[in-house]
Amino acid sequence: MSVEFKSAGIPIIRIGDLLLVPIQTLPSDAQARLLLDEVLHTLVRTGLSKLVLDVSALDMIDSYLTRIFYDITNAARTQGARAAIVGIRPAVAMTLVQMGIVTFEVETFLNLDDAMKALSKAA
Amino acid sequence: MNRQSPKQVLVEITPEHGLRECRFQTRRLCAAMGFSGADTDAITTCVTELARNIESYAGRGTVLLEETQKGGEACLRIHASDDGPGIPHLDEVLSGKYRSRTGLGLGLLGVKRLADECTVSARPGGGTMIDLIKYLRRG
Repeated sequence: MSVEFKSAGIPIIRIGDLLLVPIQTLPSDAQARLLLDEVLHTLVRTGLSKLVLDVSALDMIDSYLTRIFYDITNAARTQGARAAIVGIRPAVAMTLVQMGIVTFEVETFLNLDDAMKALSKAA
Repeated sequence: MNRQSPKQVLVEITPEHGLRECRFQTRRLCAAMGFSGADTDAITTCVTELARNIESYAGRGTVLLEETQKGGEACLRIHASDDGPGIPHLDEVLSGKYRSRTGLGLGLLGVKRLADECTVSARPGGGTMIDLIKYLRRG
């Protein structure tokens, strides 16, 4: 396992063949854009084929972040990786549903364990 | 940030600051007023959306949080103001017909759904004003 902190200040963690990105605080506009760039480049550089965004530390997700998460996971899938979001809190899920924001068909799992199991199965 | 009184907080939004301050002040005021956890989450999301819109589209602006009363009911008023480029297709955005690829439409429509009252108006001379009301006792 290895951890890198790059310019976005958000750790990008390598566990086996999986790249884990725990989003721990609400990123600013600029941070979010940097993160998108860094994650996509890290996938290419490491050749890893699985990406998981862990948002369990976020007590709030706005539409901008929803879009950034969608962009990251969708671009990762376009590159040929499998991608998922894990740990959306109950209150966050409720608020997103109330707002009418859907998760744009991104795979979501309750926790990291579930995601690792699902992503390890053959596509 | 300036504090006029404990019941009113004005947060200035700039390209790098304001988002976290908005969130912190909103949660603090909601707790002081006695909002439920679910309402506090909804209100905090609304305030973040408005602050994010200011940060992304106008660059600078203000968010005013105010404990007040309307029709004899206690409520929280959120007033976001900027002198940015304004919101194109506003009617379509608020009626849910317009979905921009940038996510602006989704956010503002979501805010309207979460708040009890939502007024969006163009500021004279350019810019946007958004006024939200969330009542303390309503679901």
